[in-house]
Amino acid sequence: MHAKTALGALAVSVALIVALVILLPEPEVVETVSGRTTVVNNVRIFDGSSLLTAGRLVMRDGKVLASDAAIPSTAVVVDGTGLIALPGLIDAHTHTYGRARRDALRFGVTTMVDMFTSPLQFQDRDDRAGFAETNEAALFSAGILATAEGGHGTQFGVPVETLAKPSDAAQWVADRKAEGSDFIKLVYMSGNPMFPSLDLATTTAVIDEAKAQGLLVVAHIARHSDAFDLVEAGIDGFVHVFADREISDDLLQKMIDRDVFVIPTLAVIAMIDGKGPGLSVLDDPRLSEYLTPSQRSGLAGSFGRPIPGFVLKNAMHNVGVLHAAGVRILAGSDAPNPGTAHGATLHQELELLVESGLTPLEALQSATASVADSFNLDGRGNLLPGSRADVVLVGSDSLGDIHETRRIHSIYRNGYRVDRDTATPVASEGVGLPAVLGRFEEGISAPEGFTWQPTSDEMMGGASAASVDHIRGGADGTIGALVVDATIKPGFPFPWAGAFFGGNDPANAASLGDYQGISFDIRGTPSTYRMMLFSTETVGAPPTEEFSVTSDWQRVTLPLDGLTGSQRDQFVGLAFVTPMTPGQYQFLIDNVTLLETVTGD
Amino acid sequence: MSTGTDILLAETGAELRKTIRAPEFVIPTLALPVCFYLLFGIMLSRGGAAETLLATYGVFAVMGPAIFGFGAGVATERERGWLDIKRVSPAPAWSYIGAKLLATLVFAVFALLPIYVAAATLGGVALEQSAWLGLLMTHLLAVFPFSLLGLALGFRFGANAAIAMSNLCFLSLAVLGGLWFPIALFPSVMQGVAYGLPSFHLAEVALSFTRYATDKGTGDHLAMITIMTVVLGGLAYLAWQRQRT
Repeated sequence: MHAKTALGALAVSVALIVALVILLPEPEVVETVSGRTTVVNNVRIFDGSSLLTAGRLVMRDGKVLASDAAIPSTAVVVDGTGLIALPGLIDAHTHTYGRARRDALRFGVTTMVDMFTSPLQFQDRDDRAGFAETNEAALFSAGILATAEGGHGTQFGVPVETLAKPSDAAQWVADRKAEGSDFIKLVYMSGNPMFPSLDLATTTAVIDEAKAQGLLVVAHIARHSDAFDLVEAGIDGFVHVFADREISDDLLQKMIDRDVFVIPTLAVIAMIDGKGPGLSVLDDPRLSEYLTPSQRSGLAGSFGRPIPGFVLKNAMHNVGVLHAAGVRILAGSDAPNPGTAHGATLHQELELLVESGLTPLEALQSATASVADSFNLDGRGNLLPGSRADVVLVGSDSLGDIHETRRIHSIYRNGYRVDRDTATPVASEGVGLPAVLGRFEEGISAPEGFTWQPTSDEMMGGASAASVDHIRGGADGTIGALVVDATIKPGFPFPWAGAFFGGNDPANAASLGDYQGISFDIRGTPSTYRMMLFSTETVGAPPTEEFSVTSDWQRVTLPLDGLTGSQRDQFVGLAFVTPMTPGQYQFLIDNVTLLETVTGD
Repeated sequence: MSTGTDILLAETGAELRKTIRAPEFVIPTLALPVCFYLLFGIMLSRGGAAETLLATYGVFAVMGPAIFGFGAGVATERERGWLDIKRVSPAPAWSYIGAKLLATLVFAVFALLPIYVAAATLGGVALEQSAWLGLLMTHLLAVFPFSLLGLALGFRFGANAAIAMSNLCFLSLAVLGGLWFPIALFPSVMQGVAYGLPSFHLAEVALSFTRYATDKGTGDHLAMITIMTVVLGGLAYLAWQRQRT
């Protein structure tokens, strides 16, 4: 009898538990954002235009709230005594490949305004509307730029749809819009000795079309006279300041009247003018600690020799005059040009802007609110309630010295604190490569997504040439091989010609995985040939291995250790090229195979 | 069904019947926590604390029957010689403890029921089904350390002393463990004390199923609860050994 009582009671208890769990109310569809809140107390806030007295910064669910907002008990509380909160910096001139967005964020650049990249970089931009955790800066971009065939912008290996005449403009602008370009960038370098340029009629057509289709349009120009033409044509802004001469009163007045903004990119002009600011970033421990090895090598790079028309003194004079006259100046780094690094160089640019006549607060405005206003980046560039919680806390109490922006205490992106460790492991982004890159039995075969193609310094304006074809009679009695006809001619400082293996889209990187070496069979015009390796992080001369070629087939095995660390996951391609000595060359290559181990031979 | 299970069920049934026949124990033990919850969790806080106090008062609600049912109950039975009779009866000793545990679990369900219903209806608390289940399991888990504590008290002290000691432990665990007020309101010395109490760790685990989870790992709290339960079990065993001699 007692046992029955017990069983009954236990059954009732279990039934009650089940009933409670089933019947008790569940929350109505939970709002997509949680209540994650960070409060920075007693912090001075630069809200995008002025520096406020110490107060409270509240970040909730990725947005800045009013300082008197209710704080949940779960909020993370930071003591902001002795700190200044800046809106996340916006770099108004970048080129975004590989790890650029990650690199920039480590230096407080939370938004990048890109002035030319492959639209393939647009795939991962959910963070622009959402508030998810991310270790990358937000990307706004022109995408492909408007230029003439062979003009500036076509030399980097990114496929560029060029324009030839004014009637091309409407379709061209519509194509960019469809690809996801946020604005239009065009190149206008009339009378430039190095590159052909769009003519003024076509340029004007692009400007008119961009406006008609609701897009902002900015221009890369080289000279004062180019600026004059485009201000007349209705351009919205310039992505470099002209540095060939000091600005004329006439042009200044026109720029004021038309409200044209300027992104001077003084750091890059300084590099071209041989003033090498890159090294001062490397020497500053506040910045250098957060540089990756490839950023360091980028900062140590140079353009080789000064290019006529880029005089830093003129550029800084023009910035000072333009700013004093009320023309909007926006801070842009033009990274990753030689001597620059994503993120770090923007701090350099701020210093150069201050040297040109902006106050430190005006310089900061040029890297925050002014960029956001000029490019219509809603919710960025300020810390007013409702804006995005992209915040840089700097260990400074006055900002009297612009170098204080380098003293970064912490960075928040979408309200999440950013890990500034350069060693943060990168999820391997590249696709894997099969071992066999080319057997050339039935034709010029390559693994899915890759091609073999000729390469020469012609793409850099040189005079060398190369062609590739399939030929019967490969190494070891195999059916076929790749044959390369190459002509080296003077005209470029480091001439080359040969065959390039790489992805169909140069912006897409592959991973070298466990491959340590490469072997191939080769015969041809006897000499010392070279193999060059390329990654998206390659800056300046690529890693190169030399090897001898004779008129008989021989197998060559080379290591791949020219690419190290993250570069191995950013493999773009490799090239087999002739010596630099002018002349005619022909070589056959076969059985190109990646190796997991390299045995010395 | 084995004989062991039969005996256990029979003892559990007897235990439950005995309990029901003592309304002066049942009614206050069941009513006190839900009245407290209605007062502090719903009326005084206007529902603002309904969710956090559900988590902590749930632990509180289970503590009563566990500590008093065992503590004072065992001491009384021992003083009246009931344990001596038990010892010579054919029923194994573990079935005596097991039955009390099962009965306490059943009792705990009935103590929790009105609080959960009040929280859901009057307090507007809404949780995912998995969270309701986790919360309920956490609260029932509380039966074990507190029952063992009560057992240790019941074996160690006489009937009168056991009631006093049970009361002392009950109130200390409730207040210092942060079941009534968050320990953040305490001076830091008292906060340190909380970390040594199973009630605090149970409440933290319970809170982890609500929107007010604190940052410290639930795994750490569960580990502390396990360690404390083992220690209390050891104490109960020592007290049992001692009263036998």
